[in-house]
Amino acid sequence: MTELTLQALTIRRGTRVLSHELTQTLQGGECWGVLGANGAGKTTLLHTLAGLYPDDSGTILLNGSTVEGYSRRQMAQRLGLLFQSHESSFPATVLETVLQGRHPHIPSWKWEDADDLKKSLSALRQVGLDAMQNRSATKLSGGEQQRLAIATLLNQAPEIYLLDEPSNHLDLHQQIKILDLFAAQVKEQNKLCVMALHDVNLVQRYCDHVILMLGEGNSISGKTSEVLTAENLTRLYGHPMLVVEGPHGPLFVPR
Amino acid sequence: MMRNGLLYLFLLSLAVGSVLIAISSGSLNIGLAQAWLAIQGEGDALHQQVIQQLRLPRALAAFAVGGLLTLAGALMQVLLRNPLADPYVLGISGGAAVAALLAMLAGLSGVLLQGSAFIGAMLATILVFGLAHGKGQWTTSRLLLTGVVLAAGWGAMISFLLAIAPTTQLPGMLFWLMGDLSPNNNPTWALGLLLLGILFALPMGRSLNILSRGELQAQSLGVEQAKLRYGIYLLASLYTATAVTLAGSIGFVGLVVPHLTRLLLGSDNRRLLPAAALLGGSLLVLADTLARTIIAPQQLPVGVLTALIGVPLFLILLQRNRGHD
Repeated sequence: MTELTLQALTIRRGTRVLSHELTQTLQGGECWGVLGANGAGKTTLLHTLAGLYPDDSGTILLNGSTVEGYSRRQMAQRLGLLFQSHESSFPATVLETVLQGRHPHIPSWKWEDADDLKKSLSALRQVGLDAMQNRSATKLSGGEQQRLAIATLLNQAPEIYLLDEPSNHLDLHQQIKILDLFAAQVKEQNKLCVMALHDVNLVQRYCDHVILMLGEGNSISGKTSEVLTAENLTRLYGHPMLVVEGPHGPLFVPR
Repeated sequence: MMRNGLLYLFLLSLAVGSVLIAISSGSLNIGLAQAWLAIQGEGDALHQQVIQQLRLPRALAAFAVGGLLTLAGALMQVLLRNPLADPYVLGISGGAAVAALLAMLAGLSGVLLQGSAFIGAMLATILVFGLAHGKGQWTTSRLLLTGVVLAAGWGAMISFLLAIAPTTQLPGMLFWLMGDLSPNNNPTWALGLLLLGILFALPMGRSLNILSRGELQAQSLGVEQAKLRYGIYLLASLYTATAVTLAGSIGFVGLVVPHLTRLLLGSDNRRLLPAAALLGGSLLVLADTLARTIIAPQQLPVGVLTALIGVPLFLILLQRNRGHD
C-alpha cells in the first residue's frame, strides 16, 4: 500500500519557517493539491518529501520506513518529481531524454533494452511527442519541454508523483490532457499524486485533498470539499475571493 | 548503430595508424615494414634502437597524454555543466606549472621535475576542493568560480617566475608551458590509467548523462550525485595531473576533442568517452610527429601544433553541423 506519512514535519529556510509540525498521511488513490502564495514553500515542501533536502525536524515515512533508509535508487523507483524548470547542458534527443526515466530500473552495467524502448515510446505517445523522438530536446518549445519532462516522469513509473506546477507552459487543452493522465494513474493504478498549483480551480477539479500553505509555518490540510473555501483562500492569498457555481462544482474567482 | 560501429573501427585504425606513422617518420626514415619488424625485435639494429628506445615510447606517451587530456576535458565539461570547461579550467595545470618552474629554477630535471609537477597538480586539486567545498556546499558555480580564480592566481605566479628566471632557462620553461613530449618518458603508467579510464566510463556513463539535467534532477532519478561528482572531480584531476606531469600543459586537446566527438557521435557519454579518448590520443600522436619533423632538426612545442590543427578542424565541423542540429 502506497503511503507517505509526515510526522510533525518542520522545514526552515534561513530564518523563515515554511512548515511547522505538519502531520498528515497521504495514501495511494489520493490526489493532493498544494496551494500557497509565491515563496510560501510549495517547492521546498515537494523537494523535502522527495528526500532532496533534509527536513529540520520531524519524520517522513515512505510506506512505513523513514526516507533516510532508502538508497537514491530505491527512492527513485518509488517516488518521482516533476521539476519546475528543465535544463540540459549537452544536447540530447527527445528519445534519449525520455529513456533517462528508466535509469533507476536498469543496473549500472546494462544498457536500455527493447522493453525500455517500448515503454519510452509509449510515454512519448501519452504526451503527444512521439512524432518528435529524433528532435533535439533543447529545440523544443516551453510547453513541449514540459511535456517531455512529464513523459520522462511517466517512464520512471513511480508509485508517488510529486508535481511542481505541472500545468506550467501548457496550453489549456494540454493542461486538461496532462492532469487527466495523472488522475487516471491515481484512480486506475492506485498511485499517489501531490501537485503544487497556482490555479485554484484546477485543484478544485482534480484534487480530493489539499494542503494550504499560509506562510510562517501555518497550514490547513484536509479534504478539498472542507478546506477549499472562499474564506480560506482569501486568507491564503491575502486577496478577497468569491465562489460561484460552475459546471464541475464551485469556481473561485478573485474579487 | 551501423554508423557507430564503423566510426569505432575507424577510430581504432586511426589509433594504430597514427602510432605507425609516428615511429616511421623522423630524421632517420624507416619504412612501415621495417618499423613493424623493429617493434618485434627483428631487422636492422639501428632501427630497433631508434624505435624501441626513442620513437615508440614517445608515440605511446603522446597517445596516453592525448587520451587522458580528452577524458579529463569531457569529464570537466560534464561536472561543471559548461561546454567551455577543459582540463585546466580549475587551475590543476597552473599548480603543476608553478611547481615545475620552481623545480627548474632549483636545477631539478627528469623524474624530480616530473614529481614536482605531479605534487603541484595534486596540491592545486586539494586546494580547489577544500575552498569550493566550504561548509558542506559544493555547488557547480562555486566550484567553477573558485577554480577559475585560483587558476588566475597560478597564472600570475607563472608570469612572475618567468620574469625573474635567468634567460638561459627561459626556452625550457616556455616549452614546458606550451607542452612538450621530448623528454624520454616511460608511458606504461599513463597508458594503464587511460585504459582504466575508458573502462570506468562505461558503467558511469548513464549517470553522467543524467547529471546534465542538473544535480537535484539527477538525484531524483536515483543518481547519487554528490558521490558521483566527487568521483568525476578526482578522476579528472588525476588524469590531468598525469598528463601534465608527462608532457607539460598541452592546450586545446582537452577542450576541442570532446566537442569534436560530440559532433560525430552525439552526447551519450557511454559512446562518447571511449571514442573521444581514442581520437584525442591519435590526434596528439600525429601532432607530435609533425612537431618534431616539420622544421627538423628543430622541434616545435606540440601545444602549438594542437592549436594549429584543432582550431580549423573544429570550426569546419561546427559550420557543417549548424544546419541539422
